[in-house]
Amino acid sequence: MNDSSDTKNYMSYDEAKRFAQSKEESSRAWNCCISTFIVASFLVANSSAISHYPAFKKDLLMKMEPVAAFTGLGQNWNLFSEPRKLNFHTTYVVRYDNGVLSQKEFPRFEKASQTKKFEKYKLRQLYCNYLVNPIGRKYRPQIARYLVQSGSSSQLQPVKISFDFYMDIMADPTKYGIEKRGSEKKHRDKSTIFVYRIR
Amino acid sequence: MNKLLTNWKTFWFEPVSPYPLAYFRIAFGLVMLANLLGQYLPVYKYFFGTETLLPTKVVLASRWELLPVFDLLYLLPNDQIYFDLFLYLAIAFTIFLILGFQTRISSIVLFLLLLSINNHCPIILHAGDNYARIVLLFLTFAPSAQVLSVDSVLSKDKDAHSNLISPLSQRMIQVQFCFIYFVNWIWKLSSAIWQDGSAVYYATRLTQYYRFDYPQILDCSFGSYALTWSTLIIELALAFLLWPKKTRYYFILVGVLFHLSLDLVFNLGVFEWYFIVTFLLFVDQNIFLILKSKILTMIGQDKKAGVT
Repeated sequence: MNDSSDTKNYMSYDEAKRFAQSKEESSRAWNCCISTFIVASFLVANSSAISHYPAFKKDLLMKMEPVAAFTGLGQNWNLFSEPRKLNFHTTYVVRYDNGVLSQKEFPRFEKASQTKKFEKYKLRQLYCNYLVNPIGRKYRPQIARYLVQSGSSSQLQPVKISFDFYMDIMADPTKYGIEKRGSEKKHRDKSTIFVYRIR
Repeated sequence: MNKLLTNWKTFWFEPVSPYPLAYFRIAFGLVMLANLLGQYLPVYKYFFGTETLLPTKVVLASRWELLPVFDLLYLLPNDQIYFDLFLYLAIAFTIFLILGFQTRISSIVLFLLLLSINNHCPIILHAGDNYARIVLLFLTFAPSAQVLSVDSVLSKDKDAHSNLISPLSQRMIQVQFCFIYFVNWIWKLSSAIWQDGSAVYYATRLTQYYRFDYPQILDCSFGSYALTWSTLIIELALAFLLWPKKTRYYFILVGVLFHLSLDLVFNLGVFEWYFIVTFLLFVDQNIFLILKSKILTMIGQDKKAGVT
């Protein structure tokens, strides 16, 4: 009984099509305006997506960037199209005026719990995508300043901060097999990617 | 030619059932709420406020290269409480969207708040944020609260549930959704590691994305090649085969399983869930009814079994 009475509250699509009227009774001009706006937004969003493709980057991206910036419709859908072939983590070393050195790691997401991974996801974007890549170079001085300010006290004054990048390049798959997931090596190769001196 | 024109008109303009859009509004709102509460709120003060990791001027100059951007946060007084209230306001309007309360106004305000939050600090955004922003813009114009909403309960039109709605916004979200698969597929296809079949091997060894364990049986050369090429096939299929009725439900199932498995293997925030809920827009109202009646039947049988 339950079954049929509940079903009666609704109409199937075909029933609705036969018996119901469209609620949309707005004026033709209004519908036209709304439709134009939606279609224009759609075109902007997808032109922005296409503009990142190498063949269009030179001409289209320059034109799309101001429109995408203002409307917020910018997008780029090359997810995992070129995944990195290395694992890495970054640390920062602060040198204080009395000669003491302090080394800290930026958050390492492979070591975090599932909850922390979820909560700190936005930090992953900053530390794993921007901080270490050329695109994020311009943000490094500001991040260094923030870390210096948060680490200074009346007794200890930082004089220098450096960002170190540690990495391990993944083994390529061979005809003999692949390196198993979870058997990644330690990040042994180190390079200093940024140094900031405090005057 | 006439048939093509008729199909075009039917696709974009023939009124449709309001239920798929209403289910989508609720599910999309819930994912948005998880994003705002779970991923923005815990780190909000690092990026939004008076003492942030990256001041607004740096972001404006570096990311936006001083281009004009829409950002209401820029107009706030220099006091952390206003910035905090801004996020809580976005959370409140997300709840209104889920409940379908003052839905048109709520969705417009939420879009403007979200656009400001996204533009204020674009370097922390993930693909899900970008997708949500565009979908929300289309949702703003969609009659998504005609059913399953507070607005419909308060409405004087008690027959609203039997009224059909204009499909334009719904179609835009659907086309946008499929277009993303297509663009992504082209990017992948032009990449050497997707062509040689090793892409999944490299992607699944990026430790920063690790979530749950990877099935051992797939952790071999063959598994890696099979997953790489099947990803390419699935993404291309999802761009086109969600439209014909004959293939739609198979590929909704494939799509949902595809994104669920990606979500289990990779830590990608709420990105996969934004995509999973979008499949609701492709489901006919009849399917929801069948599922509902089956669930009710099962519950009814369980109750009877419990009594005997």
